[in-house]
Amino acid sequence: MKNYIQSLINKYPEEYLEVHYEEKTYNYVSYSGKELESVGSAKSSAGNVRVFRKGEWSFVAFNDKDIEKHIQKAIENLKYQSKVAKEGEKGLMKSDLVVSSYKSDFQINPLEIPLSDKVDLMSRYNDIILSHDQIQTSRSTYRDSLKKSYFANSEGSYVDSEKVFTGLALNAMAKDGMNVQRGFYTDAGYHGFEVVEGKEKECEEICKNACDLLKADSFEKGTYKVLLDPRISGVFAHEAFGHLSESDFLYENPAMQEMMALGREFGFDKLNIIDDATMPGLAGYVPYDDEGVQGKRKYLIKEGKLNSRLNSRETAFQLGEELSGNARSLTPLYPPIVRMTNTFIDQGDMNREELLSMMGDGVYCVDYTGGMTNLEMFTFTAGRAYEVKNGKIGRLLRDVVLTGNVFQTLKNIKGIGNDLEHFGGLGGCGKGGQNGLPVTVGGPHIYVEDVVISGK
Amino acid sequence: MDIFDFITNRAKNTELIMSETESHSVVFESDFFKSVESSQSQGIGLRTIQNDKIGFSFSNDFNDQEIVDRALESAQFGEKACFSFAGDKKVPDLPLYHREVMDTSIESMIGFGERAIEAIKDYNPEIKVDVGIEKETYQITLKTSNGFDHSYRKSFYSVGVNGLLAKNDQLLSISKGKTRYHPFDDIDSLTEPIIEQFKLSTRSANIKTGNYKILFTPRAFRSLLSILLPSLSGKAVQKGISPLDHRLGELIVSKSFTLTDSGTLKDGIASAPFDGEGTLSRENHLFTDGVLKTFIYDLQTGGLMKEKSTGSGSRGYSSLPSPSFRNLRVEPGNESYESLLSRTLIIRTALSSTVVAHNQELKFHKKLVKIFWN
Repeated sequence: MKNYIQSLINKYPEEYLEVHYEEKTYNYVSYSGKELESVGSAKSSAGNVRVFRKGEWSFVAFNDKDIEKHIQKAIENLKYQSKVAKEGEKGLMKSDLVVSSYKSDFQINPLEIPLSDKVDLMSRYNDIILSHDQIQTSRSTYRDSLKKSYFANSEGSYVDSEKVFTGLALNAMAKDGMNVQRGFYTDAGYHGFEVVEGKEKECEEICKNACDLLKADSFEKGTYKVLLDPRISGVFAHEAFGHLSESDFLYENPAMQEMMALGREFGFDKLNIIDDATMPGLAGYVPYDDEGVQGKRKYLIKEGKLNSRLNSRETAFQLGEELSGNARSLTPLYPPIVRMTNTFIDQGDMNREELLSMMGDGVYCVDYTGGMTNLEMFTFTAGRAYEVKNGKIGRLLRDVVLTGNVFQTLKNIKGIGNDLEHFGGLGGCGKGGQNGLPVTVGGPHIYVEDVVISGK
Repeated sequence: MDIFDFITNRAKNTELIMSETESHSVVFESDFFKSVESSQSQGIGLRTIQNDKIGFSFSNDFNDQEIVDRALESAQFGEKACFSFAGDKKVPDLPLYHREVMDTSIESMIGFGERAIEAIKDYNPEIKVDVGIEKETYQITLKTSNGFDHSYRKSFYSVGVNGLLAKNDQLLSISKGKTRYHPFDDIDSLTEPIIEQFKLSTRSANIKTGNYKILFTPRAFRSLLSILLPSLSGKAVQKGISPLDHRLGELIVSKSFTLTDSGTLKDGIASAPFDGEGTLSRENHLFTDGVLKTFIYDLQTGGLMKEKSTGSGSRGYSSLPSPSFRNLRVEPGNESYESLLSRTLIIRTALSSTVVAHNQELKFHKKLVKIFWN
């Protein structure tokens, strides 16, 4: 494949050209209630060609196998280049020549596990969930895939990889009249079958969470001190702040660059937010991004101040910043855009009890159900929450929704825990129509003041 | 040998969906032309019923003969089938394909984008404008071993315009999009609503927490509807999690509310002669004068519930059919916009974007307003 792709690229020596191709094999098992709704395996392949000239791109995506035809199409589309494009004003940041081949690691190869064993495992988990009286229905999903990727550009870089991805998601819906509550667990990453084994305890926990929430109280809306558990603090870092550090959002917008100026203070000096593509096994493990740039660990916020951004080659050139290895596409059917990898609030030095004591009275939010962000505004729903009085966890609460402005909320972080965790899953990140990109979110417990919570 | 013939030689009870898509788009980013993008994709999805169990697999290779082995393996474990694949039937011819879409030149699409940017920059040069214009065609073919063998083609012309203004740690993003079966050239229909909202944003008002009568624009009402819709899926009823289960024929909402889901709506973007499993598209009356009339079903969900499919089995080639809405339509009433304007709060778009507060005149409220209702 390497020689084939490079021979095609070499026919156009005057252009900057990239070719990206991948082949994927999948297996999936999904129970919905008692029914095994979908089970089986499939294959797919897809590729793209990108040409960059004078600050403008020509992009062709395809899923037949005729790479040469699509390179010709991408070159042909250059004729539409605008008359105003100027040499030098726009470009691609110089990237080190890379020739690399790598494979993700695993203990148990999921592709060697018979489909019947995967069905048996998920059937067992699903039966545990449905065995609880108040559980109305379930959704228990397993997925694994082997992805072989090939990348080459006209600068001579070449990367091929084989990545095995395995994961599951378990959903329990409890119902009492019109009151429907949910318990949820997911884990996924570049692991083998070992990541989905031994999840009986998690099945029991999500059922307990869902059933307990049926009896939980609603809460008075207002502004509260809040302790976020590692999962929801990780989601906050990703959704509320992480997307704002993706440079394709601001690299051609001076007003946005001013708002997100490097060195600007976002929080207190113990706040550090990191994006790290180099963590093997995690869902955001990206040793080389989709432009052949090596992945890095970078501080987005360091000691409270905006330290760096996530870049593609194009945004790095425009901003005069370092490459970060964050140009990713969901599949080659989409162009790479700036995306996160493994994004987390780094741990501090306080334990949960100290943070609770610091908070005094407030709300302890655990886990995450759903939410959305739009630019600097966010809203999330806690999976469940607890009223806290005098630092003691009290009654269970439901339908606790947190909203706010990310700039104000980051400034209101007053305590950071010492219990960092990372969370992957089958869901993934969505941006620009590319939904479900594997990432992880992470964080320790964090204590935040003045968070608006909705309620009754 | 044709792939369908190969499949039916190996497995007797089958359904094959084939999809071919071609699209071309131009992208403007922060006021400037950015890229021309072309895309070609294809795929096949094979369902089979063996020993009363459903098997499924998919591929993007039209000649992938191993798809049969994968589907047959899947059928060893699959769900018990409560339906049969579609048989031969007469299929209506809907005007969903217009050759002018693919005949639209890239140059004219670029010109459209440049004019849209100019219109917004003329109003306020500080606004950064992104534009995406796409022309797309696709063809769906569905064949079954029971004799169904039909295709249809669709064409789309889509434009999205977004304006972004950044000031004082606040960001205001206003977008407008339009998709039609045929090309269109009226930039004003996209740029004028964006400019209007930016104009409104210069006059701000505050809202106190409280109870209000609310007027939702059609776009914002979509978000409100999205809370109700999952309860109308036959799948939610079958799983026992729809709060509307056992309430057919009851008055559920206001008597002024009539909601229809149509698979044949003229110029409806989701219209098609048949759904993803060969059931003819139709109009489904979900609510009539506030009374719940029907849920939506695909073949399997309907079979499980001893109901007929409502032609709502939507899918792509890589997925199984599932009850999905097509073109939702709230029937208009007879009260004028001006009369409705006497309400105190207008929600223009959903939670994530702008809210227009009205106190005798239209003003603008800072973005995030939480609406709570039962």
